Amino acid sequence: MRTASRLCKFFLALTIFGALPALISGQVPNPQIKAEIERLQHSLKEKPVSDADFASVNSMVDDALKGAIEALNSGKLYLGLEKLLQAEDLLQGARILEEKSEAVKSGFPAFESEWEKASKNLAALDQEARQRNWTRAPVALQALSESAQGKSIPLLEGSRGFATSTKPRDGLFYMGQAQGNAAFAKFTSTVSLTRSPASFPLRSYLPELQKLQEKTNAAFKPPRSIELHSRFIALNSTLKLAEELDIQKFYAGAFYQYLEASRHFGMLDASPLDATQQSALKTDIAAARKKLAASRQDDSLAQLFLERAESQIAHADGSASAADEWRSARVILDQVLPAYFAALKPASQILQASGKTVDITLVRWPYT
Amino acid sequence: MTFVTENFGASRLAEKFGVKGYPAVFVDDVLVAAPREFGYFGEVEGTGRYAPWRSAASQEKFKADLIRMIDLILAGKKDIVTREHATTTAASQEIAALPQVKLTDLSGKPLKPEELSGRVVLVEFWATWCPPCRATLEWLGELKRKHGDNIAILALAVESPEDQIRSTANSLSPSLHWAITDAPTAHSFGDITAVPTLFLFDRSGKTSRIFYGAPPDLHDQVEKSLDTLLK
Repeated sequence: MRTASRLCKFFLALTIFGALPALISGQVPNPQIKAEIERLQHSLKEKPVSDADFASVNSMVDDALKGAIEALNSGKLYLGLEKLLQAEDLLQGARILEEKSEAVKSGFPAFESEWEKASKNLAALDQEARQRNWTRAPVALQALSESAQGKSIPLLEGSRGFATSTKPRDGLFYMGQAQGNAAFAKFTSTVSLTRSPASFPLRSYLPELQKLQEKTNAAFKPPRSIELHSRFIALNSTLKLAEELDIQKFYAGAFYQYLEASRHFGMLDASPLDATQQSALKTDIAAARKKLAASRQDDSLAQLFLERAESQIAHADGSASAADEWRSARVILDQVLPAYFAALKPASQILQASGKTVDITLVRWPYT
Repeated sequence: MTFVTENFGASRLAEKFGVKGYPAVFVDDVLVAAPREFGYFGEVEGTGRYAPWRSAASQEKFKADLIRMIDLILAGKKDIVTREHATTTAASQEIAALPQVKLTDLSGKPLKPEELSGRVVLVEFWATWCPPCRATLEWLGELKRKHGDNIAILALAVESPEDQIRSTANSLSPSLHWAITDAPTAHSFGDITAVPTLFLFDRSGKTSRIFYGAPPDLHDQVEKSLDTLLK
């Protein structure tokens, strides 16, 4: 539960996404998103993070923002937004430590006062997010916004828990992350993007989540539960976020996180790819791209994952892709996209417990 | 069976039990596994009933224990579960008065009843691996300086290495009564499932308040209660 080890895991998770992009498509980058990325780049350059504990944040945020620009320039709009969120989340987490006084960092009454202020602001933003009208926006944009919004309040609550159980300074980082997520959610709600003409009705994804949770529970057995511990943590926390979003009726966000959980689940068994398999994967990705391009439906959420797969197998700087990136791209093609198309159909029934029952409650850190 | 997750920092069950870390597992309202049992509570990781977690034996043990707890509760034998874990709700375990305990301080000197008699008594259960405990112990030293002989403060260490207990005690106020808690003492206070846990007794020895964990307003709450008791 120590902050340092938590941050290491977080940084590792960021590096898994890696510094990607390429594939110049000739599309004009969305000016709003480009401006937001450049604003953060400028802000980071003008006022780098100087706190010794967060020295690595500068290069990590810089890399994420460069990745966002590269993704945007190569027509991978949603991937660009994912990377922008990574940057904003991390930067605001680290910045808040520099913005607050020593009294806030070391004393509970001052921390509590700041927490109350942040709580009011974030509650207001949360309320605002629930009123947003997404009828004209692509589902992927809505999904990115809702996912970030859905994390904001739990992160804020976690910040208080951390401040209480360790020290206020440790809690501040998560307060900053909460604000970063809410700011990103608000920004995405202002981005002007046109949706494909045919849309599909969003719905609760609890039946799919329930099935995936059961498969996850069944898979959690030694030796895999030990060897793939980090992967299980990522899978379970993604399932949890998806369920929280679903309960709040943030269905686009829930769908997105369900697909991300499907990717994590697929990674449990994914084998390394040899040269022939890598070549076949490239062909399959091109075919999937063609299929999505021909669709008149709003398949932006599938496009988001396809953008990730494309970027994972072809880095903007020409460097070789890691074995995990090839595996992840294969999983996206073989498991995530089929899960996406399957979930466009009406929901199946949720399994209800019958007879006498008990509640098993796990108290956990929200997202790792 | 319904599986519920509650976020650290916003869990009502954790708050009720004074659990200040994670993970923690409850079956209905019974705490069956606290953070320290997974080895994740405190500065030192890797000790606890289910630690290290990344081992087949720990995971199997947890699974077997959990299944047994569920079966017992479904069979209406909640009392067995609570007795085994000694972790029923704080409210049902709260003691009415200062127990008659035999304590020996860190210098080997027995605590005399007259050292507590007629005084408002504060008893803090703490551990060396609990960061908030250090802060509360420092503050208790200040309280002792402020109120002098009107109050007596017992700082009782649990589940901590003796050398670290002595080191902490030596670095803090010598006017507190420092002692290492044995099982009978902990049991006489209703069993201690979270640290810090702070008991406040009035001059007659009657329980005034019990504070679980270290919420941000702990000092304010205790000082207000203390002011009332000392009037």
